[in-house]
Amino acid sequence: MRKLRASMTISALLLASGCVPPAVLGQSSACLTADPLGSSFIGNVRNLYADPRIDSVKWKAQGFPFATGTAISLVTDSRICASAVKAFNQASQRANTPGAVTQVYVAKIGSGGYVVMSPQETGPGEWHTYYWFNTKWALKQQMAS
Amino acid sequence: MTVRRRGGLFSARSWVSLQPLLVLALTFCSDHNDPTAPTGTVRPMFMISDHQAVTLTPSSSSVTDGPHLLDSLPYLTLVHVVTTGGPQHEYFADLSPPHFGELNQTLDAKGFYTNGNCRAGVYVSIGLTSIGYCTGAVNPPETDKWTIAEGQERVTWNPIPTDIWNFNTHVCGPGVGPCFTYDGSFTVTIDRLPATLSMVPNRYVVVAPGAVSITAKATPSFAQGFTVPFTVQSWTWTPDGGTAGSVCGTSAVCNLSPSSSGTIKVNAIVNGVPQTKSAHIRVLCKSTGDSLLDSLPILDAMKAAEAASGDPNVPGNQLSRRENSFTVQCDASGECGYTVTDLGTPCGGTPPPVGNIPGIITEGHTHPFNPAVPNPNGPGWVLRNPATDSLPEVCKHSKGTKGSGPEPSDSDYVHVESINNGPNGIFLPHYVLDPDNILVIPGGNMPMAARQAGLKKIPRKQGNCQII
Repeated sequence: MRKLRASMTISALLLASGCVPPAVLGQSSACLTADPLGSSFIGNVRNLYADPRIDSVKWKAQGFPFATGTAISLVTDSRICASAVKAFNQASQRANTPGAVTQVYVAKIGSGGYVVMSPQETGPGEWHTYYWFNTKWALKQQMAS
Repeated sequence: MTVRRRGGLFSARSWVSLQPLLVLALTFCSDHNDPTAPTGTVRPMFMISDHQAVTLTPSSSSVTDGPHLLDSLPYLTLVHVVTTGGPQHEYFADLSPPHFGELNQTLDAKGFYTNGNCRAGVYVSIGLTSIGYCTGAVNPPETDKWTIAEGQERVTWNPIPTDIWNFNTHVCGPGVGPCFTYDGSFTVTIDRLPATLSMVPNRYVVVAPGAVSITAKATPSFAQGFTVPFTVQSWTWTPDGGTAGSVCGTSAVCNLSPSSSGTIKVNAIVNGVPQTKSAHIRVLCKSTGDSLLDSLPILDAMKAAEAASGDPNVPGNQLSRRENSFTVQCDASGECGYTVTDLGTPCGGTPPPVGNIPGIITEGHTHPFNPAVPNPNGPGWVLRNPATDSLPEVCKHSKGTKGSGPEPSDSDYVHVESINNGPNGIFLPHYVLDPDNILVIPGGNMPMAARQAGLKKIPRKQGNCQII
């Protein structure tokens, strides 16, 4: 029971703060893969792309990353994640500031680009910012999720 | 701020608290068999107490202590009558030596039975029902008794027959003086068995055309070997925005086939006290496809949470939108209700610790902003109305972020997993209501990928059918 309460308290805090303390991550690479946030992130991106209203042909034609299902995967390549960190900090205007992030979750969207999220991004509430980039790290979309 | 609702939108649990009702004065059934004018303590006739106590202080064989008139029970009521205290010492008071002042005997509340008479005992009656205690050889005397009765409650210490000693050898009796004096005291308590009105619909949601059966009963139904007195007085059905009408007579079970949503209300006498209970029954034009949504008051809970947080589609609400959480719980009788907790911010908050909520069935929260949708004219996701849909600045973790997506957040999934997974996990599906959809995150112990694959997205409007 105590364990349950403890986990509920943590989850409550997560819901309240919308972020995971860096110490919880326990990873040194720029690539974050730890669960449950890693699985949640990939699943959420896959569900976003499962919307039948998406016109995939038009999205691809206009250079927007598009893929579905297992073609969306969590990146573990530290070189890609390092680029993602840089792109994330630029897009969020954190580059060269104390708020710059050092670790990110990166979802590879088929061969068309990436979605990047960092739990080091701090702020109130439950929403993290997802950034969509093409393969050349040009920002395509920014949305809370 | 926490808003608690039980049994529907308009039936807070406090409704069934046993408040005295003035209507009792109109239906009051007094006991007309009492030849004695009321003396001692007299309670207002319309007051019915759950607990009453009176202390008797016997003084002499020529003085009756009482009758003390307590409540008058207008309806059959299961009560617990207990006498404590004593013992009383009986001393000779007659003027004939050598007994004056000597202890004659030590008695308890029952007094004693001699020559066909009860003497020096506590006597309790409710209406025509004699509780005792001295009842001679027919029934054993009792000082702790449960009984069902109605009418005036009377408590007396009775020396009857007064001063029976009036012999030649004893100078006492009427016109002379008491034969005995007494010390000690007794306290008589009369407690009404606490009982509440339960009203249990077999479902809180009906997919039209459908039927619902609502059962009213006392809780508990049985106690101390008795069936708890219970009588339905009336049922009323009030369609949402409509006029109340009588239904189902005085049956304990009310069967309805409502054509639109409404509130069912029952008035009943539960162990002597009028009580009222109501529940909202939601009629759907189409099944949601989710068995819990189609049967329990989850849609009502979500709607209440949304109303409390500010539906963004209602003009003027844009600035006050907040995330609210809700829980839906059912008690052992099957009666269900919900609790809405205002999380106080538009972007999340601390939900209540669901593990401490008895009978919890599910939980959820609102996303009070129109979600971004796939761009119908190009790539990416867009806001339908950027002027009102964007998350407030306070919720944004990064500059430039516009709206939020049409999915549960990562934090939502982590929250659900923390409750459902692990050795102490409980099965608790989670519902998220945004302005477009009901998002159903499955409960149970499962990997995150399976939980996300099992997400159901139920549009609030399907064709011409507005689910919620």
